[in-house]
Amino acid sequence: MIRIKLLILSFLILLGGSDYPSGSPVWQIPEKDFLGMEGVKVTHHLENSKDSLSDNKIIELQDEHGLSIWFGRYFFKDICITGLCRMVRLWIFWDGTGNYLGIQLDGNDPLTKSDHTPFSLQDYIRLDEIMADTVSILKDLSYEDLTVEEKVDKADKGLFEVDGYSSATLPSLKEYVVDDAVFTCYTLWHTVYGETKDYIDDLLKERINPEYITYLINGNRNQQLFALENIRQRNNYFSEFESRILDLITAEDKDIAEKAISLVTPGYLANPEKQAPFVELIKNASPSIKYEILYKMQSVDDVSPDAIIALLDLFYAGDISQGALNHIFRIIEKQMAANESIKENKPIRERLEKLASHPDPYTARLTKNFIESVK
Amino acid sequence: MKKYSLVLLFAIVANVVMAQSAALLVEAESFSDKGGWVVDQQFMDLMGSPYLMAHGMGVPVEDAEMSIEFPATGRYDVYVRTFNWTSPWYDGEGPGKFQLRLNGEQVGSVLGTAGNEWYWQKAGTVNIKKKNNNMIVLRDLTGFNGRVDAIYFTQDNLPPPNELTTLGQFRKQMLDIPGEPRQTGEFDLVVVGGGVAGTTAAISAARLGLKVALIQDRPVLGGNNSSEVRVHLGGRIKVEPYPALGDVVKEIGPSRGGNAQPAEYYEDEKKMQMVEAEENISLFTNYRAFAVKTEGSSITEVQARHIENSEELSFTAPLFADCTGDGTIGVLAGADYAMGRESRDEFDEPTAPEAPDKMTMGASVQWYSAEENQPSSFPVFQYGVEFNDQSAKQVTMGEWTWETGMNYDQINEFERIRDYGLMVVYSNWSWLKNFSAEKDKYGNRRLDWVAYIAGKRESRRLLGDHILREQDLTDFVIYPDASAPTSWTIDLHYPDPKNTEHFPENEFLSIAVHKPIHPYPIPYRCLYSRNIDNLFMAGRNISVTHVALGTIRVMRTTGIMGEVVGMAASVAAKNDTNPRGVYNGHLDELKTLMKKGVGKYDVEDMQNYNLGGSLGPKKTTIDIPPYDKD
Repeated sequence: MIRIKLLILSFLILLGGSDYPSGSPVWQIPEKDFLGMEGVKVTHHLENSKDSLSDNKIIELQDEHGLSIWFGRYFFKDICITGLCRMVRLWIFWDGTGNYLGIQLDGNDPLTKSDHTPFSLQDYIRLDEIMADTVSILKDLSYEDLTVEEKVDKADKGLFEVDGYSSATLPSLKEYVVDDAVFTCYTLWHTVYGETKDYIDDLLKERINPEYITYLINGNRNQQLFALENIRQRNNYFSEFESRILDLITAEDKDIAEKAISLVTPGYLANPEKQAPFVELIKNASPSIKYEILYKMQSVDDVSPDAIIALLDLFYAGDISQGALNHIFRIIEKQMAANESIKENKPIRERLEKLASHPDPYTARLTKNFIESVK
Repeated sequence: MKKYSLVLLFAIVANVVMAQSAALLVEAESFSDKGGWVVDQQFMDLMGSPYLMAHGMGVPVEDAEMSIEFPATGRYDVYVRTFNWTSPWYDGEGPGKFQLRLNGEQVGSVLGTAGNEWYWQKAGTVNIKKKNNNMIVLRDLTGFNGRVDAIYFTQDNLPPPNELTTLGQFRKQMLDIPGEPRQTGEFDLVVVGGGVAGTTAAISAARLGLKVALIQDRPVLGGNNSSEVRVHLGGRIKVEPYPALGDVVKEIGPSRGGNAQPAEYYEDEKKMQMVEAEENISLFTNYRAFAVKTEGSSITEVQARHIENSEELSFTAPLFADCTGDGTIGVLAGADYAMGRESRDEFDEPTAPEAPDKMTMGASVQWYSAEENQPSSFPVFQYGVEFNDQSAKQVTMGEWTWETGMNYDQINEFERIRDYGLMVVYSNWSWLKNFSAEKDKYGNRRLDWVAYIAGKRESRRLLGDHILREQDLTDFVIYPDASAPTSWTIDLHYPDPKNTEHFPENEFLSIAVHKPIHPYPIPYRCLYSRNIDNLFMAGRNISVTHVALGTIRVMRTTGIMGEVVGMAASVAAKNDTNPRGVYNGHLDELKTLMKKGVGKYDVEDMQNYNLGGSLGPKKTTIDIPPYDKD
């Protein structure tokens, strides 16, 4: 564990000052001048860094509320290709929630490929995509794996010759790296997701409190995801942010909606009063979230009549498609088996009878069969 | 030789006639209360009958029982058809132990422990004092897949025949099964096999107005995608040149992906209800096709037997679709077929081996365990496949990679293949629970589900007017009859070399070797037999080489094939022609249908899981060359 020490060195210093190498950025990925942005600069010192070559300072840019805009660190990296190493100097930035944000290079130090030609603009764009991939195949490879292809005798390859599954071969890595720059990609990816990110993550964790979460959950996409993840890690925050979490279940952004619904626990849904409003979210939810709501309701032990009625009404109104009707019946069947009053509930019965005479044969037949099976 | 046969036949008939007056045959699968025993029909073509099996995963299952009526009171010898299923690997007593009980008393000794193959084991003798209300019970003792085909009571001390043909005749006589199957009526199309391909074929044809019989040998539809096997759908729908293909897959497909997940993931009821909602489909679940009649080079009738009550039905139609996965109907009718790997020279396929061989991809017995709140034990299970901490798989579930039988015949040795799958799951789990240095990790875990219906990947491939080969896919050779798009990689499985180190020739884990392709429309000519005039195919048994099978075998793709077959059948019926006639004279009509699709319901597309790693659409539209039959 890296021991950290936080030093606030200065306040309201405009970036581009003399605390870090100025350089003349020629490639900024994406094209944004991070170093030129305004804010409050805070410097953290990374102690016991394993990366003795690079600057051990992590610069944080904060806004007027003291919230992080980005974190940056200046690296000196040896990138070695077939025994020849070349020093690369660059800035790597992470956003205020610890996600990769971009790379900024010194003007006279472009990245180069194995044949020593400089990266093209397309190569930098590809590099940026690779760095943003948190689950890149590079994650589980060692430096040695990158050269396996050269060590394997072709005669011994046998059935692996066409292998796209065996990831430890150069051909199979091609689609995951910039052409002819596997070592550069590998070195930078592990730098982006290395000790600096761990430091930033730890730092942000320490700062989590309801006020901070309130700010983040109303912020941009990454901030919302960050807030939701932190709520997930702290069960006692759910009730405080319940209303906002339910809002986000119907967010257009798939990741946010999925993250938000993942916070809804069986314990929460055990409260009958929460069930119908939760079910009503189906109206504005994306298709996959509609199903998630149904799956969640299937695991509830006691579903309220109101929630069942809401489900049937939503189906009748077309807010739930025919492909999910069997899921609704799974919920009702379980309740009817456990609770006679659900079986005899008049509004539920009326709605089922209405569906049994639905003009669509699938709906009608499925409902008739269902009514018959629960008699 | 002829004379000998006649004498033998006389002896058999005499035996049956004599036996009829003082003998009783009880088919195990017909027990009215099966308790925890399951009906296994997978090998009835090999050993003569469906059977009951005590699939308790190490915990004895509930008794199966039934009240039976004897033809007369008195003393009977009792024979039980069973065998020791671990005998291929272990010489001692097998684990599938069970008792036969009659009127509360155990009959003879413990059964299921002996025999290298199915045979009539003498269980003991009983003295029957009343003709009616005799309660017969099968009591499982171990939960380790003891199995019973039938029980025979005789006063003549002669076991029934064991040879399959004579045993079949014997069964018919003893069970009073009519000589000719019952007619089910006339259909426009008979679809045999209710996996994903057969189900979509039936729905597609029915929606286009055909009267369809759908025959399925299990109680549920979906085949490998049912809760019995639990393989998720794979590949893509909505693919050029016919993005409307797959609409039925979308309607019947489970909304969630994942292999070896809890049963509800596979939504058996949705598939069943979608079929039942089609008034043009007559669904025959629990019937397994076992015979065909032909005239010239056409099938006129398919016969199927109920897997529990042995009732036999006859299905007639001008058109048939073989969606059995094993090409069963085609083979019964004499269709050309291939099995195993072609040589590289035969189709110039770069991935094919230099010499042809019988190797296939294997069948998976998937499983999973569940975490309990308290310690859970598992019996020591050591029957010839030994594990240690190096060879054991330290896992809590096994999905597709638990694959066996690549070097065995996926038809004629399939029971052995499935049994080896069970054997290694139990043996490995026994090691983890009882002996492993890491056994504490597994202390609270209980073996919760193990498939007994094996998920087969490869079997016979019926040959059509075109045989799809590797270069068609990799060179993107588009034919005028381009139809169902395949979108998975060429995904061929081999024994896992690491597993070979520990279990040479007896591997049970596999690796996948992928060759990416662009989504490719399969020629329609791969979907009908080249020498059986009225036979369509959909599913893994279509006309492809072993290598090309690697891509077409996933189930969204087989489902799309089924849709095309249903459409082609409707074109054939409308024009009073056969599958080849559709290609020769009515391809444009088929293309019109493929463009339009046969979707019926406005369902969300939840088919976004397990799409596969192909290179993606090569073009947003695919130019299909014009068809010029001259």
